[in-house]
Amino acid sequence: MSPHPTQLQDSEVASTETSSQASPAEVASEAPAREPPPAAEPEDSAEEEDEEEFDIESLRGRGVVLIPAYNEEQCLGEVLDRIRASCPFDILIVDDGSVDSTARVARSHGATVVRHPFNMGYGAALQTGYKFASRRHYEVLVQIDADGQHDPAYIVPLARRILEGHSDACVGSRFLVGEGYIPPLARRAGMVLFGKIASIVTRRRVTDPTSGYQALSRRVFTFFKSDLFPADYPDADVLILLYRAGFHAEEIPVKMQASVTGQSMHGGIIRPLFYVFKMLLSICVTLLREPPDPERIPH
Amino acid sequence: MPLQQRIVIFGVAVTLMVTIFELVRKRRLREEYAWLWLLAGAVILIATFVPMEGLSAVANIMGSSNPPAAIFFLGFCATTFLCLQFSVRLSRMTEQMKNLGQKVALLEASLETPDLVTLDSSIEEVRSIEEVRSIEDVRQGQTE
Repeated sequence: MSPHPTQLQDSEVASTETSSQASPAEVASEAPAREPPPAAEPEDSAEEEDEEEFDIESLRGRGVVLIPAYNEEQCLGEVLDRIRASCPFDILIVDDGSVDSTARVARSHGATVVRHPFNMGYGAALQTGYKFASRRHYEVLVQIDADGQHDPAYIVPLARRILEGHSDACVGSRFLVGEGYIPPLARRAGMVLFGKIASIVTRRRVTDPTSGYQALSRRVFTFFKSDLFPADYPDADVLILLYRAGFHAEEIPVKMQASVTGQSMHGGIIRPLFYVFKMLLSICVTLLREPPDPERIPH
Repeated sequence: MPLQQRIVIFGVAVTLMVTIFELVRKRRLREEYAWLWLLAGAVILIATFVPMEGLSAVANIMGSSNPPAAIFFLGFCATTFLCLQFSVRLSRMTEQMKNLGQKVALLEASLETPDLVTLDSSIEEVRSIEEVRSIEDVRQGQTE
């Protein structure tokens, strides 16, 4: 990780856009790098060699997979098994006051459980995970949904972008691959709108502003422990906040599936409208505030 | 303003103020919130004694030819500010409650899982103090 986060650069975007369908193992090499990607054949083969030589066990104990969960007993077990099979990271479930046996299922699958005394929402659950990871001194945190929407095979590629110092926050974008689950038109329209706004503000192309599949560096999740983190609806405003705080964020392609439970945080009629309103307001006030300095945030 | 109207408004204001005092006395309303409602009650009470000319003057200042409408609008503004003030307090309390809930969750996790004891810095400090003490005890035992 770079000692000082750098601003986002357009050149990085261009390389991201060229990404095609890829296996998870190839994703990291396809993701944008700080320097322009070399085209020469010998260096390509060196990268492939690096992929082959990479020992996944070297990641053990360096990171944590954060799963905010609320009444997810149905599919949580399977998701945890798939995560275990794909990465050696510790797993943390933040049970956001579930009324079913989410916590019991998580414990029986070997995950650490932090249980909220009452339901506080997705953002608060994420922030609890950040506080946990910060106190446990992890180097990287990968957040993933509990409903099986995110393919755990991309955890390692996302984490490697952070651990190898390419960025401070790496977001998995479903639209860079162009396959797998594509959300309904209305939701996609919202994503395009906020993607455009985030792209203009952060001066890079943001294709999936609502993706919750992210890897964060220690500096970022320590920064998010503060009350500056929008714990009510963290979304595109988080990307803007990161940019304003001087962190370097990027996207890499991932595959996503439809939620197994078929439920969405933004379902119904009122909630999407409220979401659009809240997000526009949040983006406006984020831009109007003084740019935060991560080194001077009281925790 | 007709006497009948004044009597009704006076009754409402007195009932409001007595209710507020009673709520504070029974500790169902904190003093810090009570003063705003008492102020609102007092303003209504004073309004019943203000002569019609006074109310007309206030309405004229606001550009209204209808004093009751002007007074109603002022009351609406005051209620809006009260609601806003409570929203501000509610936001602060929500933030505090969220932080408290997170702290409780993390502490509970650290107590339930022994290897997570280092989660909380205060517990970590206690452990280090205990370790120092145990080392000192061993040293004292050796010298004895």
